[in-house]
Amino acid sequence: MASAIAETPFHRHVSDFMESKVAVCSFFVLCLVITIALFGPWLSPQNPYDLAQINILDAKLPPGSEGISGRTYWLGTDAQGRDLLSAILYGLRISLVVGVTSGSLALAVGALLGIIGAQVGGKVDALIMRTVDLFLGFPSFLIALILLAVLGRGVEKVIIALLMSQWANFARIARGTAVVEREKEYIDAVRCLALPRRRIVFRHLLPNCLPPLIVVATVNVAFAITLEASLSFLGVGLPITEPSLGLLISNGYEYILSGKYWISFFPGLALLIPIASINLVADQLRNVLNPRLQR
Amino acid sequence: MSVQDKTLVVEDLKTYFFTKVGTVKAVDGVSFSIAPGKIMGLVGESGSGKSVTGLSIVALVDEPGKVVAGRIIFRGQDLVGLSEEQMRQIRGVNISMIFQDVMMTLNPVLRIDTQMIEALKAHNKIAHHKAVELAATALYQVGIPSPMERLKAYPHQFSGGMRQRVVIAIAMLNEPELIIADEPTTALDVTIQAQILYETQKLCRERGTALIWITHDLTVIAGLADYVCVMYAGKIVEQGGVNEILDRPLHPYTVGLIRSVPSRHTRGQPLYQIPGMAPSLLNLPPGCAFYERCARADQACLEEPYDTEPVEGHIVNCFHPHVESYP
Amino acid sequence: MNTGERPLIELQRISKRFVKELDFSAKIARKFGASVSERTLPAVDRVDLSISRGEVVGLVGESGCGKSTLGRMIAGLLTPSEGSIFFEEKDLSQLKGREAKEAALKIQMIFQDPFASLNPRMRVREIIGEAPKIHGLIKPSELDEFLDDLMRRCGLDPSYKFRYPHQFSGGQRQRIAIARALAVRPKFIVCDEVVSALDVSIQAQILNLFMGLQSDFGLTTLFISHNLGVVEHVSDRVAIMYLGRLVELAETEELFDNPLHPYTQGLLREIPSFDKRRIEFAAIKGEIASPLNPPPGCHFHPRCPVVNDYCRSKQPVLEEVKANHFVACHSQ
Repeated sequence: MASAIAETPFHRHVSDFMESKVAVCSFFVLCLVITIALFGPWLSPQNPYDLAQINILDAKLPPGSEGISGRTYWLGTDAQGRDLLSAILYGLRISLVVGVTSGSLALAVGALLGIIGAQVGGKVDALIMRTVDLFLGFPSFLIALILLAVLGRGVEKVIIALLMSQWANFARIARGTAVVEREKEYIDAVRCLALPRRRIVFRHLLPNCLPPLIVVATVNVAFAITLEASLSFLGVGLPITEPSLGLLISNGYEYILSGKYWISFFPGLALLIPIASINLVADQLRNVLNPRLQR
Repeated sequence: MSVQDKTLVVEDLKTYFFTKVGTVKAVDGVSFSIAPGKIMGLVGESGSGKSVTGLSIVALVDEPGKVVAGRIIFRGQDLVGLSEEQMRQIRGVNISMIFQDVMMTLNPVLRIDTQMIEALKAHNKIAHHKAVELAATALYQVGIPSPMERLKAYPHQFSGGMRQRVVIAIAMLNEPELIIADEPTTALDVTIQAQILYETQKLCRERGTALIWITHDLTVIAGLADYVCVMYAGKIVEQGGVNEILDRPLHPYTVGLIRSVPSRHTRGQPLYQIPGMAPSLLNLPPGCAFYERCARADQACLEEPYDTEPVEGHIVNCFHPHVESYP
Repeated sequence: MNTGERPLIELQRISKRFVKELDFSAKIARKFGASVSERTLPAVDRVDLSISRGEVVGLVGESGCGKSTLGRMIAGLLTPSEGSIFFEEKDLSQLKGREAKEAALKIQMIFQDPFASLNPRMRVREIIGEAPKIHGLIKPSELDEFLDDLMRRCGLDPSYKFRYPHQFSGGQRQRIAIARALAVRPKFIVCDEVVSALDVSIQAQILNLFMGLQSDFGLTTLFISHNLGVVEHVSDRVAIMYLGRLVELAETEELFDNPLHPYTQGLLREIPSFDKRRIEFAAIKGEIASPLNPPPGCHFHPRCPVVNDYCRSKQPVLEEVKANHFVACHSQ
């Protein structure tokens, strides 16, 4: 019997998602992190890039200590006297922006190419898929590294590098899903109805190919964040003027063994929390969007 | 025949599913029995509880389902309450189950001989070459040509009908006393179905194996079964010999079901439709579950009907059975 | 066939061969002398069939016989490898542009699996209303009224417009699928096992619905099914297919009363029915050959009880042996 309420597929997904308490908690943590990151500049006590606000005499102070000017450095300061809390807030923002942007672009580009390949078939499909194979043959890190060496430093360049290292995965999944969906009877039905091809692809095929892509996209954002942090840690990612968490970790690296752990530790923790929560959310998303479990 | 002599006696079986949206009473007080060598058809549509009944007998009901009441007496021993370990001894040896989806039984990455020999050795102390012989014989008996070569094949190398026959061969390997078959031929072609029905029938008659054949197809039951139970919304609404059920059905649902089946006799006219739809097992109405759809229903039917036996051997769960069928 | 009128649909020597192309490495291997060749599956082999306006023709056969493939070719989902399909006396493959689109809309198909044939992410309103809207068959202002009326005629409550497929049962989904097909005002419908996935009581409802709509809308139908009881009930004429070929074609009563082809005879013998009680099931010997490798001559000869030498080498042709009763068999 049809259910009494007009339940959209989205509502179903949401209620399935909420079955896992861990996932719901992680989701809230994630939302919190994103909000904090978005409002970073307004929340942080200090603008870490404004040299006028930094006092070199406050350098390497442990967490909770008071500085010369009387302000409390809750998470301590780094080697230049920057308030670590502020630096983390700014860095978190940059990391998330870069991660999400490159992830979304990779999803869009990859999915489009994958679906086009599946629909058009033949030589175009072969070309796209062999390119995908080529890209997948290299470690993402290596691709990003090579591109950055060529493109130089800068936020947009990092985003491009991350995009190039991630799109192939999406393309492969999108094509695989599209090939399966394409054989389903509802696609046959709309072909019978002589609907224009573009409409079939965008209105019928694409929405039904999205679930696995969404799952991968979520995990990919975490991966992009990590990738960017790694690049910055090595000094080839974002420039110093926009320090990401990776750079902060890198700056504090030399001080770990001398007891001034906080300079690397807190940025590291700030990196860990969003990544862990994204992965936990993605885990539950995978269960929710798995077509085999659909009623 | 006393309870001891019957292969299986099921008394007031109840299996409920405790889901987050409510309790589904999939099987709600089912009773029947089956003698050795006899074939019983368990007939019903989707949601009637027929598959769950079969699964309950072999304790294969998954969470959140549970057998909550009743007795399942197999050769004198009550199976309800046995441990998983004890049930495992019985499954595959004394009671075998055949599913509609062949790949629930066959492991796609193992050869047929491996699977069959594994099934044999798990329950018998037996030398390898003897096991191979038994396996080949079993394949031959279900009508698979060149059994010694086919033993070395993988499931995907067989056609659909052949695979189901292999499954039946495996089910028969340890010479069980009871086989429960859940719609094994529904997905198969008519000619293949005929062959499988033939093999199964022959084997049961020869070895005295009792068979419960679960299906929605009344016509298959007509040809195969000795005894029929018709299920609706978790209960057996009617049971009796096959001729009684098909020629002189008592329950309005059975009557409606038989009349809905298309054939040459119905050509040109609209088919009889049972009005309405099967109720949701989550909120069954009080009284008879067929009330909404029954032309004979009245106030009395708002009470839960009980089993009566208007004719010997023909039991019906209804206040207004079609006794006029019996002159 | 019996009236002077030309048939609505005419299939002439329709064939479909599925070829598994060699991939790049296999092509190279062949250049080096390895004996690899394309694998061809002759799914449908030179079928001739005419269907008159208003007729219901049942198409029966078992898995691998090609009946679905034939249906799909008529519906335009597959291109024939050989032969022509004439619709309203026009060759479908020769039509272009607007004419082709109009012909495509006049031939619709309803599928077997009610769970896979509806887009799970579209509301019923869009599923049914999309095509008429896009093709301009209905003015947007009249769309809702049109939908309501059509849904009612298919036994669906119009308020269900806003729901999604997963909220419906199998039988209701088939009704939606029927409504979708009827929304574009077709003349011809291919029904591919449309009730096979449904319970008996629901099957009765859907069959009744379909027969009613068929006469109300003046439809012509090709009813594909492996269930002979259903076919017997709905069809005017019945065609039997075996391994890609038509082996028998006759009016329903005639076919079921006097089957002439050995395959049809065997099939009818084996169908379980109410009248056959506790029988000894007997089987047609052997398995259906793999469609990839059909036997030469008559495809049925390895299993045929009346086979002769001629059958093994020469393919029989569909011939009229009695009034309106066609058989492809050497032993007639």
